[in-house]
Amino acid sequence: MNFHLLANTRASVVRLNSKEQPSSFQFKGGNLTVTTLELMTANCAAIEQELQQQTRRAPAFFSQTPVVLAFDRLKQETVALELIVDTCKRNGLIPIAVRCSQDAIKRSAWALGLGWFPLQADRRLSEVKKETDCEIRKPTKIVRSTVRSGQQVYAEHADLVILGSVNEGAEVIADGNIQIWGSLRGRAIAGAQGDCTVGVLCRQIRAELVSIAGTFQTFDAFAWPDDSERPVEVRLSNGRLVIE
Amino acid sequence: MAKVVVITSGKGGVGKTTSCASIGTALAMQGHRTVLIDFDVGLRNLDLVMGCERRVVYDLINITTGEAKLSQALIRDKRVDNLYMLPASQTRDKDALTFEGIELVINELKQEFDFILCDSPAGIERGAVMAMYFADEAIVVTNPEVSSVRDSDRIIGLLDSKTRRAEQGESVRTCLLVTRYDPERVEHADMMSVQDIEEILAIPLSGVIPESQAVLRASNQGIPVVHDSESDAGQAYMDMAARFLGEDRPMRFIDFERKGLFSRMFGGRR
Repeated sequence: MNFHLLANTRASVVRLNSKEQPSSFQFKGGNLTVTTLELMTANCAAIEQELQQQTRRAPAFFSQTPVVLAFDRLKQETVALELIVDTCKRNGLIPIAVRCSQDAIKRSAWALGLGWFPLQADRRLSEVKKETDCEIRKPTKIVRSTVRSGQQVYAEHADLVILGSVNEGAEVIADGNIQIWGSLRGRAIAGAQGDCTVGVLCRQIRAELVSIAGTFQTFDAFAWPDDSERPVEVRLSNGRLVIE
Repeated sequence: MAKVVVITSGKGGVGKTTSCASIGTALAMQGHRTVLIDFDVGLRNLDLVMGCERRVVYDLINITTGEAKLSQALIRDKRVDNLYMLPASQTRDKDALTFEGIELVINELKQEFDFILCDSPAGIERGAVMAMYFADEAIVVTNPEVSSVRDSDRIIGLLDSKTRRAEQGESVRTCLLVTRYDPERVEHADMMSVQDIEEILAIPLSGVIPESQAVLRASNQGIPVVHDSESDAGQAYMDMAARFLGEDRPMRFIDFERKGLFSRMFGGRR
């Protein structure tokens, strides 16, 4: 008999026998709520003492309750898993699996006939961390006039749109992208907080300086060619500014 | 309703005072009661260009400090009715001016006049900011030259932020006056064109005054060049004043006319 098990068969049914003969079982995926016992220590005496206190407080909970033993918080590579399992069983808990990253504990679990789960919390933690690392993006800042010599505009955590031009001696800065509907003759600094995916867009470029995520180019001795009359995009490619 | 107009530029020597004298004279010729205020305290040029330097007794500072009455300090122009000027002090410095004092003077002048033209000093410091602070409108004077355009750009930025209108969320109506324009040099790409300047400054153009011998001559004689109706500069200022009053007049003196052999032989510069 061939077993074709699909990965992630959540809430799906895999029929093993397609012949008219009725099958003897079905595999079903699903989510069960299981209590996890997250251990802060591998000291059996301490665990037992605390479990007894808990049992006195809530005896109904500790009546043959299946639990997953989680060793996420433990730094050590090996634990006396058999002793811990016995301690749990004495207090009305039935360990059904372990969750850990330590290989030694995983092997002990299999030897004891327990299942093993990889660390899920790790992935979730890193995801959350990534989100908080992400800067809070504010709505795009729009300047409806020309930015003139001596003026400075900064769009914090946002894109910046200038409906006029940016004149010589003026400076526009954004943590996001910069879009100039007129001519860029002054300085434009995009990705001021280091975002290197942003760019500077303008209808015509005669810039004094363009910077993206700290990589900048001055154009003081630059005689702009005639085709600089066209709209351009300045972005960062392999650490170099590209004007297109 | 009286209008306060500042004539400003940022850069010095571009023709603010000359323009102020000629535009003021042209407005008065049209029958508008006009007063010119010289804000260039310590230098005092407007009275020279207006040719009334020997009639100055009291000045702007004397009025703001209460040493003289407004009527005592106002100098009536000899050539045009409806035209008065308020000279700056030669002996005091710019710190002697206060916003409160200026406001009192301007409010008093508003009762009597249609146009109050403020001749700003050069620069972007206190004196220039004071001259523009109470303005309803601004005439930005620019030469067709990179540094002058850059400084005018800076001044327009200040007009948008450092005036009372700006503080109240309104805007100062701003227009551009290009002076010392030489179409021949523009043709040879030695000079910026009006189009270039307009594109950079992005404000409406109200006049172009050609480079002219008549301007220097008029200033030295103490007669605003607008009185010289034969000269191109005088005519250009008349056009400018008419446009300022809302009239639609085509721009003159901006295209280079190649001189024929005849005029090259006989027609000197006027």
